[in-house]
Amino acid sequence: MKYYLHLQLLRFNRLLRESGFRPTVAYILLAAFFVVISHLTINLIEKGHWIYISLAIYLFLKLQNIAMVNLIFSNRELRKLRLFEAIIFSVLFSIMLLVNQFYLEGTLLIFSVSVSSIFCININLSLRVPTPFYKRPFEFIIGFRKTWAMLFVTLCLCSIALTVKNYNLILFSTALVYLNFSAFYSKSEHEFFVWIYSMNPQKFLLEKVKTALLFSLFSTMPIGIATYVVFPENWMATTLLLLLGSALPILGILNKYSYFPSHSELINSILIGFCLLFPPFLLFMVPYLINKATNNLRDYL
Amino acid sequence: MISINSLSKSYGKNKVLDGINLCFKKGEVHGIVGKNGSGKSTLFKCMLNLESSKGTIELDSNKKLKDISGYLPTNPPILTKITGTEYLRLLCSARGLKFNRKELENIFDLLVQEECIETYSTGMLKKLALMGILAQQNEVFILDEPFNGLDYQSCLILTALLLRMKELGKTVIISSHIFSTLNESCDFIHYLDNGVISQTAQKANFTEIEQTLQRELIGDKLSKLKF
Repeated sequence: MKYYLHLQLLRFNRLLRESGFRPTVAYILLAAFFVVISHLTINLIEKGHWIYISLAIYLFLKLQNIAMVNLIFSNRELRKLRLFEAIIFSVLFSIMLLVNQFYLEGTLLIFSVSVSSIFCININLSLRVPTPFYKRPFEFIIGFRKTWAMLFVTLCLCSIALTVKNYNLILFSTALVYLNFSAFYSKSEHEFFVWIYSMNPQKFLLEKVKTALLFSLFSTMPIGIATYVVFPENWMATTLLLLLGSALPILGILNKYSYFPSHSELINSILIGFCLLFPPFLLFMVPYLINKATNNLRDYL
Repeated sequence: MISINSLSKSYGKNKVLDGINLCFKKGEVHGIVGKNGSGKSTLFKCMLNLESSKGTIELDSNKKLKDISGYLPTNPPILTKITGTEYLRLLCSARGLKFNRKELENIFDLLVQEECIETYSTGMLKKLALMGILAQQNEVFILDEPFNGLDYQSCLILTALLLRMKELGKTVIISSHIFSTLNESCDFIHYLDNGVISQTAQKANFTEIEQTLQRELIGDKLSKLKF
């Protein structure tokens, strides 16, 4: 078990280096990001601590469901490993809850995550579920099947936010939906699945963007309309959210194919995040990415 | 007609393909044989622009070879969490074709609708990949070890399919370790040895190439074995 954990650390450090980061710098940045996101989720959203706990449990269950680990360890070793992971994982999240004076909830999180690890609760979140995106393979089909539970939770949050008229929660949950969509484009597919297209790079990118826009609009339209109806006074903020949200999967596509078949460097994703916070920078970023992706795809198309 | 002229490929100092010249006409089935690592798969990838190479590939039309070719790699790559039907739909849409499940003849009796393709066996995956390139209505078929992993019945179907493609005027280029399968379906067999086409035989002379293969690949290796 000790060697397995050591290997995981080595693998993670390699991933960071491949993404263009020195591990020490990355750990500091990740810790800062974790603290900021935790603080925002717990304090700026009504009942945010419950959302925070739900997210923590969801992430832990996803971490647990790694088939290879289940195969290589005996049951006894596996339970020890799960319990260790559970304690480390839940303590990190609980510290943030305790700092914000949610003592009972923090304790509850450690308890529930530890119990789930002892009983090795294996939920299969990647069942072949029917998808409304089946007509245009493949990113949204795969993404939907991998993250349908997350999507379901965020869409429920949107509905709750509309019911209790909490605009901040609407912003948060809709942003999560769009972030999820952009994550569908975070991993490069095998070169074969680009090579099969008989179109030039521009047309290829346009088709991908059309599909992403169509499906993300289709998925978020009910939330958008309901938000305009329930919060008519916030129409400008809602429009900005929908526009920036729709830009996310498009940027995901351009970013992916700029580095295809390698994975995009983390620093590039951070740069895109920065551009989203200051939208005028997108006017420079988008043409740059289009140009880079087009040139890169010329080798395959 | 596809004309390959002086095709060469190197990985650093290691020359994998050295001045390959080949010509493939419509309605012909060509077999490429050679030992492991002789460059068969690299040749296919270079032809299809999946690998960079030196030399030229000319076609008698303005189209790119990759846009009219169906390529079956030795181990077809898969996308997880998509079903067989969705895989076929993807391959059709990549060529701007409308996918019609009813029109696509399921020659391998494959249950393409039910399961995600990561649950498929090697043979099932190969059959699905084959159905995919058939659904694309390609003019050229480049099949790398197509018989690997197929059951006996599917091998028979594939051999018949190759002959049917020939009748339809398609160009087929296949590599295989199973000489007998090439014997039945090919018009020409090319022996690729150390990156060079060292011998080409027409159907009547296939035994010559088989003898060369046996001589060079087996030689007197068995006589050295001490039981």
